[in-house]
Amino acid sequence: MKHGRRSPAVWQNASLDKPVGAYGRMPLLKIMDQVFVIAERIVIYSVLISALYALVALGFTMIFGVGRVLNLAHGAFLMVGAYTAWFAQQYLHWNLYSAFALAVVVCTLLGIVLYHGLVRHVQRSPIVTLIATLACALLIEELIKIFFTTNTQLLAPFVSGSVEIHKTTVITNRIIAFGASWLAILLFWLFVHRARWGKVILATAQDQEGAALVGIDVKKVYTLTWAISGALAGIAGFFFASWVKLDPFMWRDPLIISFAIVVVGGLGSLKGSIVAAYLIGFLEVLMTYSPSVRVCAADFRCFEFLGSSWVGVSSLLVLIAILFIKPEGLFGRTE
Amino acid sequence: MRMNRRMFLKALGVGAGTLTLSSVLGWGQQPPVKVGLIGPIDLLDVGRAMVRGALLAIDEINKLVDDKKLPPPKLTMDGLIRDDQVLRGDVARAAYEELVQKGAQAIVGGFLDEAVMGIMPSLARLKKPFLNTGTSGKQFSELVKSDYEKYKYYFRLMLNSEVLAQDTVGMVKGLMKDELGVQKVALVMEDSNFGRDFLKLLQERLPSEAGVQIAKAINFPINNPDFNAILQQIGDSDADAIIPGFAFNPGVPFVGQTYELKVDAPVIGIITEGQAFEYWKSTGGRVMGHAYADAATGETPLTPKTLPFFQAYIERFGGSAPSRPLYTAFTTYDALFILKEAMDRAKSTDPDKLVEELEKTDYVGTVGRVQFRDKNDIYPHDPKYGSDYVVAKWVLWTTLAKDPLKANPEKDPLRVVIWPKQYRLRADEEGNPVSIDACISAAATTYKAAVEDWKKKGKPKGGRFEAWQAFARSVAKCFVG
Repeated sequence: MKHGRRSPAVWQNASLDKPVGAYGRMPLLKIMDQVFVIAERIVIYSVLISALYALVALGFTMIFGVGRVLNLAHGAFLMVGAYTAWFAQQYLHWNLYSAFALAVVVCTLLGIVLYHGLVRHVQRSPIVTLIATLACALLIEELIKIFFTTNTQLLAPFVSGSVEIHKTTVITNRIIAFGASWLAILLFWLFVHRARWGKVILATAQDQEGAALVGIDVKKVYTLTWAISGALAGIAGFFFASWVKLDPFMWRDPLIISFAIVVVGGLGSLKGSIVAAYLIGFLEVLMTYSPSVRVCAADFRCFEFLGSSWVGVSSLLVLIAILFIKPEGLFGRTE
Repeated sequence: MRMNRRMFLKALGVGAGTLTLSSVLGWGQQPPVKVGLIGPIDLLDVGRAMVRGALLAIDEINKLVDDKKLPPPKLTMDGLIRDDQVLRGDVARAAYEELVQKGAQAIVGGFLDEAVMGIMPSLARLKKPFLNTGTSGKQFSELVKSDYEKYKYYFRLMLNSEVLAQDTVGMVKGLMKDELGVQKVALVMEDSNFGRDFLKLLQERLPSEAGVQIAKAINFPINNPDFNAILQQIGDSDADAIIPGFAFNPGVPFVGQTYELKVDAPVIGIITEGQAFEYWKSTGGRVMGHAYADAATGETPLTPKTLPFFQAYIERFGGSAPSRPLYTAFTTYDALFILKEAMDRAKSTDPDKLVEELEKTDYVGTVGRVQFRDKNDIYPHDPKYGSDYVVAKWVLWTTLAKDPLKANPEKDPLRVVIWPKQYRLRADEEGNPVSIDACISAAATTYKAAVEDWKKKGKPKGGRFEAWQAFARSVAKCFVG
């Protein structure tokens, strides 16, 4: 029989280790068991990572909600927090708790300095603010390259080892990061809704001119907002670095995640940010487990759809979809 | 005419004066030959190691010329070192063209295939030899094979990915299967040219040639920082060992998470950044028990040139990262000596004559004996592979410290060659090689027995992990003696 012409696109099952139909011989119960185990892992991993994502995005959304400023240096704040803790641990030989506290203090101060030293002067022009904060992030990246190493490092975890949750093994530090993230989120929530200064922040977020008219010192509110955002970034940076890695480029992922979460959740909505963090975290973990489909063209160039290479893409696709369907975000207010 | 005493003295005076003046003004000396270097020198330690290896070689060569142990000319790399931004073929190409324009007669370096591929069109046009000291893609030697006249200026000191896979298959069979009792492996490869090639080759060859099954094969995105889910899947697959393939991804999160999860599968494979001595510090000691392919380790006297180079490197560069030579330092150092020998034999820097002489290379360097494959070989201008020539050395990270997480990262880490057997060596007090093969084989037997015991107990979590850590500690003891 003559072979026909090669099809321009050949669809393949990209499961790299099992031939197609390998599951056909497995008993149904075993298949069901495997499905449940995978579902359990997707749920556990996404619950854990999403809490960290929510914490990462919280400071970013607050700055926008109150001051209408998109702080593109937010990821760099996280990086400064991570490097401060690492520096205190490696070079000053501080214990991890003191290093963590120093990271939070340094990031808080950085927030205040950035606001008063830069943002306050350019805040009126959103474009200039965007460019200025991005330049600030790039400057921090370069400074870290100059003063520290460009090599990837690990930030030591609070507790080493792993724990078993049913059939899922989880790194203990991730459970601590989950707990710390939710604690920070809840404390922040309580502050905003119960404390006097929290209510002042909310009032300023709703109407700056109105807040100024009733005697609120808006500049003080902004300073407080940037300080809190910095502190949250310090906590998030510490756990982000001990979760994955520490390098001078680590600010980019948290910034993209924050941006996606804030747009999907609704610009300035804290509730929306948390929901969006869980949506994006879930999609990312789902992609890790989803089977991929590899499409190869006639020239053998292959492209992979879905699967672990789509982890970063999924959040951006959700962002684009939300911009089309509900441009104000899931919990955003229309102008 | 008879020379009287006065004329003789005159002639002597003029001659001596001319000689003195010429040596002061440099008359009669050949200018140094310019050699360029291209690599990821700004971002990666492998790039910085490349530069350091080159500087050491140039200084040594020039000193040998001064001492008249080598003929002139000297070599220089002043102002001829360029960064390729790791993956950027266009940047590497521009760097090659600029270096040629500045008078470089040959260029060394290259770390990732993607960057070196950018150089190849300019190499064919400008014809200045390029000695690749860092990449493993086989497409370069395939280009030489496909159009020899055009690409004959390309040489490499590294093993290509096909040969590296062949070496890996040999290691899997000899070390992992026969000595350690491994039956099934998991492959974890990054999604780069190198990772894809390596994965494909191992999938094709491991089952048939090493008799080892592939329990899981994963091709992860190049910047992936989270391996928890991947490692969990590997744990489920019941693999006896993990073979990683990381060239671009630094592997630090992978190493950290493997340790935290106490994955019951030893890691033996390729993580390029894991060859750096600083890797122990970067991972906080969690790399304990990992074994990675390398060109050489300074501590192991592979050839008479290995230890002297290692000591010279530490003396000059030991104060900053990379404080110990990475593979690119060894290969670049050797490349410059090979180049110098070829220039001396050719008595010229003419590219065609240089190529002719480079092809005749037979040089015992720091990593082994280098001879290039001839143009009729399947991989022309790659180094010959085999126990008499260049092979990969599989180096185990270990320490004598009780807790690797608390070990002193400057003093405690040890890097010991565990494969091939001929390089299971340590240096005695005089620097002479002493075999530790029997000691390592005994440690492997103990590990194998511990794994059997662990299996009988129903594979409790972390059991094989602990057995492997014990193996690594035993190897450390063998090495220290």
